[in-house]
Amino acid sequence: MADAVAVTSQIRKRKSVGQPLPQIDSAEKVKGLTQYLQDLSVPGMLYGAIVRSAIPHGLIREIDTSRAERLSGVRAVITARDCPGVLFGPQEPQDWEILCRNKVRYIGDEVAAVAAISPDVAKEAAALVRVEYQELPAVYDPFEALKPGAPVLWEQHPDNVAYRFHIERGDLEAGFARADDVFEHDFYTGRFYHGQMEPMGCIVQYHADGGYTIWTPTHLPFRSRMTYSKGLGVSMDKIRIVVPPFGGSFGMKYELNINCIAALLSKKSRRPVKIFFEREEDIGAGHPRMGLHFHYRLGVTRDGRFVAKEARVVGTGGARTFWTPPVLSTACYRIDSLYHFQNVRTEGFLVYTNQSPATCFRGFGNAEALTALETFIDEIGERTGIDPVELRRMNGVKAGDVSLHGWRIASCGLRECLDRAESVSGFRNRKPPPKIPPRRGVVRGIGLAAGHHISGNRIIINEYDGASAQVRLGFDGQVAVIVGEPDIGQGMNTVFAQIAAEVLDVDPASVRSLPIDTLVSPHGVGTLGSRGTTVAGRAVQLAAEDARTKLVSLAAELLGVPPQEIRLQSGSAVVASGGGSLSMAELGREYATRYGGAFLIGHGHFTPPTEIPDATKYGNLSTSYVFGTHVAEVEVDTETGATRVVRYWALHDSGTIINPSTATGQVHGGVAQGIASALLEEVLVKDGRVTNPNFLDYRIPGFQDIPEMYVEFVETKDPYGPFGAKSIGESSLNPTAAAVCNAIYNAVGVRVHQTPVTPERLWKLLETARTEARKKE
Amino acid sequence: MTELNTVEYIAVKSVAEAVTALQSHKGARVIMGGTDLMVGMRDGRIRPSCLVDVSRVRELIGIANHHGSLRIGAATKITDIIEHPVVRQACPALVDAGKLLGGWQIQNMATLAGNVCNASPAAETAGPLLVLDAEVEACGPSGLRSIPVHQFWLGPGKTALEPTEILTAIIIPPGVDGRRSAYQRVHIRHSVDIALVCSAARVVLADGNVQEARIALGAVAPTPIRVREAESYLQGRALSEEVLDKVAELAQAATQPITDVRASAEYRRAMAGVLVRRVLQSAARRA
Repeated sequence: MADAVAVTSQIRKRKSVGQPLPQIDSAEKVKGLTQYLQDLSVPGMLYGAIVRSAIPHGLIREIDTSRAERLSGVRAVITARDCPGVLFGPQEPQDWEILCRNKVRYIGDEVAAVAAISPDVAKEAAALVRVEYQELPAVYDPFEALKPGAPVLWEQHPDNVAYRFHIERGDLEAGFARADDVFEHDFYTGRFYHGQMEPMGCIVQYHADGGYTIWTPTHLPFRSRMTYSKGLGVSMDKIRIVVPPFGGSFGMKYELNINCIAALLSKKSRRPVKIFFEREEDIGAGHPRMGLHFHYRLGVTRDGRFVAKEARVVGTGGARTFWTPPVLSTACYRIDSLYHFQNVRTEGFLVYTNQSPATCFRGFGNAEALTALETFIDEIGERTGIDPVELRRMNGVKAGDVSLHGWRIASCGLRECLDRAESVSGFRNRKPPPKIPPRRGVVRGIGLAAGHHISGNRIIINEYDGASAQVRLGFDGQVAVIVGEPDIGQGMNTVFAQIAAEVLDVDPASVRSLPIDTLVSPHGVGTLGSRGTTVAGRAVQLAAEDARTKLVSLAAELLGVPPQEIRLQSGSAVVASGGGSLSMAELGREYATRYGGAFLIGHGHFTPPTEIPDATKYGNLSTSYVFGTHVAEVEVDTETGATRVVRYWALHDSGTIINPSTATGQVHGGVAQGIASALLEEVLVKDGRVTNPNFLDYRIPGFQDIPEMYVEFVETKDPYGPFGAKSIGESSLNPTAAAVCNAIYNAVGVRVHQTPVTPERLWKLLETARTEARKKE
Repeated sequence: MTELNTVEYIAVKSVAEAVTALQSHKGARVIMGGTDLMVGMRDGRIRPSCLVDVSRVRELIGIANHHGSLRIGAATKITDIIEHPVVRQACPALVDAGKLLGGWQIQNMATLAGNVCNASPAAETAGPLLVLDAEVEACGPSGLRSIPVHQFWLGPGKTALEPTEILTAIIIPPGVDGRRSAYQRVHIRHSVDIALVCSAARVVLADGNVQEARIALGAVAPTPIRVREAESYLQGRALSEEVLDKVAELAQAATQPITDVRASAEYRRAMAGVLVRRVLQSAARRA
């Protein structure tokens, strides 16, 4: 209890951390002044367009670029002949080509590209490139692709398996032998597009020294440079990446081949080249969240203990490998750090199919796995007669636990979230579902799901985990934060400013975070894996503390008192006993004047307590772990199958909340996206062609689809993040789809096994249930 | 985008000027709000040689109630229609539909005539106009003519309008009692969406029995359709559960839906039955 009191008094003393400040750049964004990629141009810039495969699978017989080359205004046309020809890519297996050498593998595969003086001319020229194909049979369904004799996409992978995941811990057979009941469950989560406001794009300029400057919003400026340097055949230092403000991403803008295409167009034309996707291209040939099939077998004792879990997960990766291997592994085993399953075996298959390559999406496979698992636990609760919330309490991890795979849970608010969710939502007093779905009328139901996530993830790059930062004070008195992790629109820079401002006791609104440029920023792992606040934020805190030490010593010297007499207070260094103070501006000017204009710089670096997993995949993967519980209340129209989420409650343990306003914003956005994944959004593919590549038939939610939400943070005390902060970006989305599916069950008494639950899909399930009930009569 | 940059554009001040422009420019299209036309042009589905802009032609704007008929000028915006007190009282089905036509921005730009001329089988306003026995007034080189709305749509995107004709007004004829009319649809997104199936109905009741009925369905056939079998069946009957079941059955039988990216034929047929029941009940509750 002493601890708790200490924390409370500490919180009261905080001026910046814990304040619901507006995002530092929000006024600029709202006024339309922010310069996004599409607002940027470089003198002499050309526009690129990509010639895409019109067939799902085939050999390239001939490419005739002559008509495109003759078109007035065209400055460069490139094909595989212009590419270094090495296979490269962000993950194993490396199967990117820049432009297809002899084979196309999906409708939209990149065959050639043109650069021209305007987007219109580029588009026209791209249409003039003639490609002759010898068509090959194609395969779209991962289970078909796994069958012997299926069309093979890559000779090196005759079984169409791009990546296979296997994990085993404990004694599965013994575990099942201990079980009183064994349940099975299948779930499919559909192909889901990021729907970010700003489509993919880049500007690339070739330089006389053989290097390139790339302007592109990317989560991973440093890591993607490693990928592109291999693809382009130049050393890493020859590639400079500058990150403009993000127009949204949600995982889409990690590493993209268009940067290499634009680079080669620039090299050939000797002019900077911009490629910016139209929406149809972004959806139709882009890189959505992959479809994932889950099969679970779970052994449960009579009193509700999980004792064995066997799983098979199959991912529809598409024709090439983006970030899907780690997404698949996450989908396979991250849930083992939410519940103690005791004995597990999971097999995962990432399957090549003739569709555009999938990539990562907020939630990174864990949102999908939780959708499958949390609907399963709801069902197990019902079938065993044990309250499903109690099942979660009983089997859930606790602070101090080490998961089966060696993940160390330093802080855990799972139980608090479950308790609070039950009491604020009225879930405990829910009605049982109807035995037969009513023929008519609108019925209500309520559903609960838990979830968790990481805060940072080992092995994003092999060399290290962690972050570094500088907090500096200049001649002009400006306090600036320098990190290697870009703000991807979620408010990182605001959070960094609050952390630095807290340490230095300055106004957070006056602290600037510098834009990311690989030429000047410290090396950063990237903004992904929910690591921004926790890992980079911790480095900022340490850098600010170092700056504070230096400032105190400078002020002490100037004011002629010992350093322990100096306190930083409201933008100044003051003598605690009174009798003198110096403002930040004065200190900055004094330091610069003494040292030839130098900045006073505080350095900080944070190496998290993570480990590279061993051969059996054992090892602590993340700095800290976050937990949450969501409750959804829905209305289902039993005649049409239309579902509307009418009320929503989200409870989260994300440690200390640095900014309640931006954190709540993350929850609102995560829940909206989660509801969309549950009810609305799916990239539909027929014979390899996306049939809804537009926002009319690819339906992102509007205001009427998203209810008011109750958001509450359960602040546990975590030892690693800055001021005990953990992540929220992905955990806010993770439990949503399952909460909605469970609410649908509670409303109509029918279990769904696939998302999104569109009206027609639910109507079919309702009709089947009603027909079966009539037969029984 | 090339098409948008190079198309000829003429803003006219009168209907006569518009007709002249259409005569002298083969392949010209009339533009009012542009909410369908501009999207079609951007996609390359529609490639007019010239745009004849009538959005500022005064004689085409406004709602007039004379000799018992309601005349809605072709260039009247959806927002102005759904906020009009007479329309709200006399044609609530049209208001139901207008409120679901796109979002507010679209309703502020789009016109009733544009929605009619776009000839989508799923057009929001088609069903209401069918059940209101509306007439389309068109003007061409040889003057004005009137076309009953049920004869106006010939197929998806196809209308009875000649290339040199312009739609000038939608007229609800005198004697049509539209007070008990309603429109509903099935959609996926509750915010802005397009109808998977939609239906409108109008009833005139006497002593609780149906004296006159009109029922229309959209997105279940190449054009919006009337369900005449159900209309005549309803005559003289009360809207009981059994009667509504029969009407739903007749409505489903009248459909010839397709399966596409939005819905299956099976679902569309089933929803036609659901919607017809609902719009009849909703219409009957109005007074």
